[in-house]
Amino acid sequence: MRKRRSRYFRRKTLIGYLFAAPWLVGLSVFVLGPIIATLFLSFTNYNMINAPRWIGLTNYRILFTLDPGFWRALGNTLYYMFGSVFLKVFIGLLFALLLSTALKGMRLFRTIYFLPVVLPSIPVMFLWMMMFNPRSGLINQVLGFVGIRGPLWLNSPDWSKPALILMSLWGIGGIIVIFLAGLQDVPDYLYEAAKLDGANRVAMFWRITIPMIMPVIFFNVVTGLIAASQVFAESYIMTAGGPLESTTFVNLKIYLLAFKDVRMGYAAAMSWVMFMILVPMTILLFKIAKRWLDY
Amino acid sequence: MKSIKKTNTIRSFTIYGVLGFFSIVYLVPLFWMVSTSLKPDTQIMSIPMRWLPDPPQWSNYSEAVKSFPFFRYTANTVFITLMNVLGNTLTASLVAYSFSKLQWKGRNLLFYITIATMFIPGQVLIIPVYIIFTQLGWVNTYLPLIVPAFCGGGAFNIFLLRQFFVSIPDELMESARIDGASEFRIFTRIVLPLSKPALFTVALFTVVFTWNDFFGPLIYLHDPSMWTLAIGLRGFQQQYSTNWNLLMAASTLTALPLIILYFVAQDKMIRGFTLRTGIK
Repeated sequence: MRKRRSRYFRRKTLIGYLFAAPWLVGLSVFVLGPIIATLFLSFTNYNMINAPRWIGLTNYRILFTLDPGFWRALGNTLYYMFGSVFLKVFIGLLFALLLSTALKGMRLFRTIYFLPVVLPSIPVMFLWMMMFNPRSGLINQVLGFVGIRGPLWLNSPDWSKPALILMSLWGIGGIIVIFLAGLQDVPDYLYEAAKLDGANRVAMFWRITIPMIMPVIFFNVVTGLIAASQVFAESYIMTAGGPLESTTFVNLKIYLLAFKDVRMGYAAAMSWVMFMILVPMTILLFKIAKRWLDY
Repeated sequence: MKSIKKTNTIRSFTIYGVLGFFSIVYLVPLFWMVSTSLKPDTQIMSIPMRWLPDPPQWSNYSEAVKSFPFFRYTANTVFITLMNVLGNTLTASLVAYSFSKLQWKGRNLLFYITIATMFIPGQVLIIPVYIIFTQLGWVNTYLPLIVPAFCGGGAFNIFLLRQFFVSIPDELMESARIDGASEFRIFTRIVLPLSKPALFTVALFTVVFTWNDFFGPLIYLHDPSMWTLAIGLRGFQQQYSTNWNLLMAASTLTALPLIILYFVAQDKMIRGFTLRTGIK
């Protein structure tokens, strides 16, 4: 009897693994293996012709002490990450609050705000390059109508990052719909109970809405930061990292090092540092938002 | 009573005003793209600007598709996209079934790891993956852009399908098991037909992602005849950098399939987008 039971469970496990097999391959070859391989490569010199040569912490030493370009790129990336995520979350929440009112036609607004999210990124970048043109671009011409002399946008080292952040706000729809779902998830009885107690709108917002959607805010901040840390095509296509390296982001540097100079070890060290900056945020997200695992 | 009604009206007007104003702001870039695509050369960068082309020059579109291998790139992109849709729906559903309806040792641990990988930034993975594909001799083929889709379809798609499968009642499967049906048969005959909406959502996301992917084709496809629309457009822009009207015409054509898809299936898209947060 016992033997038969264990055979039954072995068979079940085997079937389970068989169904999961594609992902067991994918997870190890394309995710877990590469994370470890990147760490290993970061301690080596590797040009894809000769075998990787172990050089210990040399890449990291160069990175932290001899390569001002890296610090600059890291600073640019953090500027972009925090700038775009802060604005997106703040404005996205405001829009979601307005859209969650039970007025007619909110669906139409939601449709409009989400539309840019599905547009192909490369055409969108060309479009904004054109609109950012300091003289003939749409933005500065419209600003001119109301008597504002617009900045040089992508041509100015001070305005290039704000310009890219402004462009990223066009894709705010993703954050809006996530906030909308979060707001709908707040149970109505909380508001009803508060109303009976005579609470006003402002009090209900700060005492009920904000605490209840805190996990959603946190989710948007962390996933937003991770997504924004990958900013690459914007600088590759729109600015070539300039002017004066003001839009040289870490990923542009990694791309140039790995795929143009074939300095795989050094590029790996750079990506590992970036990863180490993002990992604590992700762990925090997991600690706070266990909810995905719960249901 | 009357004053409450009045403040409510003012409130609605304010909300409509703000949302309406920003809707226009959000639509203007798209309008500008189409408008520019129809302008004659002399009106593209004119000061003061022209909102509308006068007269609309439809020939920009035929000229744009002749100026670079537009149809070739479209065919390449469609091919890669379809293969990704096939790979993702097929393998992600197998894995999701295993994670939701089969009991086996280590299942929950693996599922937690899978969720965690949704938040791993791509830059820490790309170098070894590129080295693997180079050593396999797959650079300059479509394999690096297709094969990963057949390896489980990625954490996000697995997660999405798993959440859907969990809601299918176990009784359906149990009765089939008692009748002696194999797990594979239960999967193909019971679970998949019930999961069409979820599979459709996975397919939608795959189309949007693959159609827009720039980095993958950039590092793996060197032969211009193999390019996708995303990097083909980049090549076009480098060649005709001043012809914004032609570039915008090509860009509009590239965006059009996704815009149509969005209007056909926006609810599914938005629902799928919010699902990964764990909000029901």
